[in-house]
Amino acid sequence: MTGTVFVAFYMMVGAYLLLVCGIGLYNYRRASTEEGFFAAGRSLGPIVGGATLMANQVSAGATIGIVGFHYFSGFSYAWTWPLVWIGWVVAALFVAPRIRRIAGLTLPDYIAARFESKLARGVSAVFVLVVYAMMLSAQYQAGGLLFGLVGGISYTTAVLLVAGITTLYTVLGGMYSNAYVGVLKAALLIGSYALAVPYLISHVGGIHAIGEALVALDPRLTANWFGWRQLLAISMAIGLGLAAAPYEISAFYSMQSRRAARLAIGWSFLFQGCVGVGVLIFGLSMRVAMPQLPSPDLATPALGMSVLPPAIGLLVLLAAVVTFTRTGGAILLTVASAVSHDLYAELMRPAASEREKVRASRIAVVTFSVIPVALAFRQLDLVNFIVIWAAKLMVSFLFVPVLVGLNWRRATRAGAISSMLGGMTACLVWSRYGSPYLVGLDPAEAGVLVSALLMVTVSLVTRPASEATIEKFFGAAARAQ
Amino acid sequence: MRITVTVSADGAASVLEGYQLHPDSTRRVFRMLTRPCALPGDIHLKANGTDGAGVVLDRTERGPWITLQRADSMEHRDSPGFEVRYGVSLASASVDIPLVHLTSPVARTAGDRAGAVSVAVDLRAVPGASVTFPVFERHGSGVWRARFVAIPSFVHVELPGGRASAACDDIRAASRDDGGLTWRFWLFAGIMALWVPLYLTWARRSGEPGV
Repeated sequence: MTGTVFVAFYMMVGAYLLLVCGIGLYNYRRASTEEGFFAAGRSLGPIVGGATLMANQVSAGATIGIVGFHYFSGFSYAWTWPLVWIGWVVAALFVAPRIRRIAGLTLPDYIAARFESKLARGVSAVFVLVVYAMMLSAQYQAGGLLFGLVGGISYTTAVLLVAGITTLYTVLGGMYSNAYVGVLKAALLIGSYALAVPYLISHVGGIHAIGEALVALDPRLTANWFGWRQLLAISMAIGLGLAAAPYEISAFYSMQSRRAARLAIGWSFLFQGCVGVGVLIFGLSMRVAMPQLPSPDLATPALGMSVLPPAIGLLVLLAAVVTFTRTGGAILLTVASAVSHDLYAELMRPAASEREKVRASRIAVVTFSVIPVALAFRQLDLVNFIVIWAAKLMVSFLFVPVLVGLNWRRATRAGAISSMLGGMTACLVWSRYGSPYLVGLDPAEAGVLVSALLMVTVSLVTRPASEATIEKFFGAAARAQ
Repeated sequence: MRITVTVSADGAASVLEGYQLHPDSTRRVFRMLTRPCALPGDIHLKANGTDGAGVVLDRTERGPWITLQRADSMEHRDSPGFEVRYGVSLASASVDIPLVHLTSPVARTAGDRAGAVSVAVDLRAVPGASVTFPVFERHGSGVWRARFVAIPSFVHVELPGGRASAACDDIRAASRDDGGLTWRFWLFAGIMALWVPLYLTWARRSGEPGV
């Protein structure tokens, strides 16, 4: 990258930050209530909603991490995209339409309402904090690698810079910013990938030539580096985790209607499909064009900086910057809501005013940026491995309480709490002692299985939820909403 | 690590790669990606500061890759400073010049934006010629420079008035096994493309009361 292009990169990042700040300031007044800050005033239509869902899912785990995965492992990881979409269909059928029956702001709101338990709210909020600290560290790590290479600054400085950017716009705008930056992110990703992919394919020699080069390096690169067993386990963790992911639940809450929520999932498929093809071509092409990178996670930064023409390369790099700051923002918002809304306002200080709660949210955003930054400094693993690991924990404690709670009247408070604790514990124990497939199960599968068994058995031997709660979630009025 | 590519007016490129690595006992193995219309030959390895042409590297081919290593390296530790020198015959006006690279990654210095690999392509003998892939910057009259975090497999040059040859067409037509990547890619893209209309059709038809 020449000096001029280097300056252009920083100018584009600066312009993006100004735009984000502008959106944030414009919406500052609208975000002066909790509903405005966390749920965008429930105003999002299908396309903006779809961009929001995609923008939440397509994190740095995709634009940096999955490109790196394709770089070192070849084609097979691509199959996780359509497999993960099965999780989205589960969300469309069994989660999104039903969870909007309560006027909640966060996932623990639903847990508390459905299971009539402050303890369940607290457990879910604390687990969300733990998992999302890991997820956020992956975003910061990816950002640190990119800024470190492209910006010519140390990794530590780069991580702090990325964390600062993410925190700034989350504090300023809440979900309003996230929603509209989500649209910007979708447009930037699709636009830059549409320019970069044909250029890259033509210069590397076409799909067939890429295959010729890869299969000669290692036959697994074009076929099955990851076996179907691994792909199914990863896809289940990510897909079913998405069906119950707090930030996706928050996005469903932000939409105008149940119909908008369902259609938004379809639009997000379109956006995700473009990104899925793009990151695949990026990773495979870079393995041919520059086969010995110091780290697979450097494939995207090197692609944007040294391989693509400067104009296209800058757009790809900016799309990556938007990706990790935007997804980082969505995660940070969820973390903030877990602290300020679920722990502070609902458990510790129920009499807090709206203004106090919003202030607590913003303090929480700043405070809880620190832990992921510390994790990012340590670079626990490749970016996408961190994302997968966090997804496995997430699905283990959250999927069953969300799905079963929304669709089975008999699910009880004790069942939900034991399900969350048991699922998380099983996943951790399996990962420590049974990985990869003790008795044929991946840690995420073990977590979900234990979580489901506990939910059913404990629910059947404990007192059902009150009539009022059953009516709220399963009564005629709820079905008619 | 410095790489210099010099293209002459008669359609030949000579490549000199200078390495200065940390001393270790690891046997150096190199790889090169063959490209259509570019025929590499006379690949020599020479320790820095020694006289003579150096040793010819043994080559084995697998698919489009040529793997190169010293035949005598079982008896001698490789020097940390050494050169790889070779020629490439160019048979097209628009051609990729392959670059030899080590089969192990080059260490990167933290905070180094430019990267450890410096490449210069000297096209002064061919007026109007340019480097179009990867990203290079033109310095002076016909010298193109760039720095990378890893050695690119090839650089693409456009040579006005370059000669096309029948041999080049033969190489273009040669097709090897792609490991099933092509059909897998199109199956994957097709599934992704099919999902969207199927889902949206279902989502629109499955309206619920009050939505």
